[in-house]
Amino acid sequence: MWQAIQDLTFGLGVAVHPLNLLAGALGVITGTIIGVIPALGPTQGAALLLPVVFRLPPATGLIFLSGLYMGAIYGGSVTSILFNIPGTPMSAASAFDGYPMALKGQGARALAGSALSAFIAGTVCIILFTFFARPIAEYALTWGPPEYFSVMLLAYAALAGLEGGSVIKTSVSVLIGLILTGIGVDVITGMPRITYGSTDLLAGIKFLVVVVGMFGIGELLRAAEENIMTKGAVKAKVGLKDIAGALREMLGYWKTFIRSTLIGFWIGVLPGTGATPASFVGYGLAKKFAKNPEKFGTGALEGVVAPESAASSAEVGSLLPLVTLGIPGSPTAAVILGALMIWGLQPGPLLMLDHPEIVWGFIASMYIAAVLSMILNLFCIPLWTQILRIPFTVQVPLIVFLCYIGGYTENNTLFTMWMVLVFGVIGFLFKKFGYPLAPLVVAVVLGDDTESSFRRSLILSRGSPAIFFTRPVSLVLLLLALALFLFPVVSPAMKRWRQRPARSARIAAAAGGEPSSRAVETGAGPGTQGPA
Amino acid sequence: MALGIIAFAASVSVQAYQVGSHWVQGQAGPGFFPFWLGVLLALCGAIILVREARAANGKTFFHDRTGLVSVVKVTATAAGMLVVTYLIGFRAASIIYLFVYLRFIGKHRWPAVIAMSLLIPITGYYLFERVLQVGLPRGVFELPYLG
Repeated sequence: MWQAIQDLTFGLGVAVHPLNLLAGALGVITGTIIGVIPALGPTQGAALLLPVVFRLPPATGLIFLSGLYMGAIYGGSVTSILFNIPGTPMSAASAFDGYPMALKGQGARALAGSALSAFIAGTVCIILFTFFARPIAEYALTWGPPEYFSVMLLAYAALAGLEGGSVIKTSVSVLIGLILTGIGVDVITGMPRITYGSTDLLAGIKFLVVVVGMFGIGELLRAAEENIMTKGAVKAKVGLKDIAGALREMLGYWKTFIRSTLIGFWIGVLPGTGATPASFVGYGLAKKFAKNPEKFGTGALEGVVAPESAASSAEVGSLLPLVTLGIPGSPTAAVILGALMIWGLQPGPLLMLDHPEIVWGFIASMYIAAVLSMILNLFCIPLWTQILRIPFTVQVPLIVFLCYIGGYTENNTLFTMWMVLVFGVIGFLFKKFGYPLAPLVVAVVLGDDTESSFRRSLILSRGSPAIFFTRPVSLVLLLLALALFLFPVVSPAMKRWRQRPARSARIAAAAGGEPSSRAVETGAGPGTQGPA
Repeated sequence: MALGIIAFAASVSVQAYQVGSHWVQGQAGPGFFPFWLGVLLALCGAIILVREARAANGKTFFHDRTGLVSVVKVTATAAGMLVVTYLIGFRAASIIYLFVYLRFIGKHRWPAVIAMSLLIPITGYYLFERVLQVGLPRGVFELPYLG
């Protein structure tokens, strides 16, 4: 307890250093602009700016990234609520009720509610984070390669189980990502492999090229196809009265708020899955537990509070496995992990001991970034909505230009620029055919470590794969991975099984003259135990 | 798409097999990991292929022509820029690229086009070549003042 407070104040000391504070503020502004632009989300934005960011000192660069991260979340919600154009995928759920509110002329109240709930949930989760980080990191120090291999399998399994799409398609995405990192010179034996006879591929395919291509160019192509246009703008200006009103109404939704925050944090902590699934789960649960679920979708503030607080919690939660284990909790966390590696810092339990100023400065700066982005977003909304007026035909060449330079900085050859374009087209095709991109990015970041921890374990065990099953921690992680992987297969069956008793309970309750809401609530209870 | 995945998986597995996918001296060889990833990927591809064949396939790939056209426009100009970069270097190529895209695809007004196609690349060079010391690609033929 005392240790956690000490850590946080130490971090605050780093974060309020004038240069870092400036980096944080710039990050929030850039992030908000990125969030408002539909073709760019925090993952793409962080990837595009990496070439600039990794030339700053690590602590300052990370603070910039955390500002960008927070700013993008808020920025995405602004366009989602006012124009029904989610600036980022994670703010799509906020439009379900936010946009109807804006149409009814309550846009200011929706925006105030969204910013406040994201801020409060973020604060709660940063405190949770501070308490968990040190114990987990200290525990992880006792791990060896087999445990790391198992926890990475857990990350891939969590992606397959929670992404919401087809398990097979997610697996394809993970496998391709792992194969891509295998291209080039084998790290253990020094042998070249899968190079298709090309000398350009000997250097391997780097993470930055894949991310900039798939998220930068790929998303751009998708936006070009869908022809995103700014629809009729809704005027909104948030005043202090709206904030007070929203806050007063939100007090009534404290149950929804706590549920969303905890579920969001848990989904964020699960490796690989980020704020997008969390926001949908948060919205879904709020609707499931609501007294009158039919008001959802027609412009209820509760329907904005639930996804916003879940998304914001997940974003903070996803940094917990990143800092403590070196496993990214979300695609954006994967980009931050890539940045750490470019700085020559190995994320994981040792980072916290060797470079406490970086870890705690980063965490404290998230807090400052949350405050800054709330202020910026509540009072500068008219300014942000102007950004949407930038014509798409100006965005295209600008983003392409930035993507090329971004990919190029990886190893300074024209070949990498071509790779950026190729991965852009592949990313577009992935989206088109319904293959999720996030698992591939996570696999590309973790690929080298997955293989080397696998092979180092075999060296430890003199070639026997039994090492993964005989070490207790590794075994537990593997079983958890198996459970998560099978979850999408088993859960429909479980739902069917669960519906029967629930229905009979409802009939019994109705017969007894009692309100049926209790029966429904207990019937739905077990479903929330798992990573629903 | 599924066929492409299987073909990619097969090519990976074959190459991994060539560098040694079996156990060398009690350890996994350099090709072990990619080989089995390739096998798993081919398996997933096959499952998707079977599923897609079974499902009624009435969907068209692009909803309408405008979607396809704008995707092709973005891709073709982006690829064209890289060809020009190979020839005359990145600085000149990006000016030409921005100019062509803004004027002929974006159809913006001349003053705006000229201002943006000069301002964006110049800011880019200043930031990357001067401040961050990243040498941007040079072309085979360099133009005076631009190369």
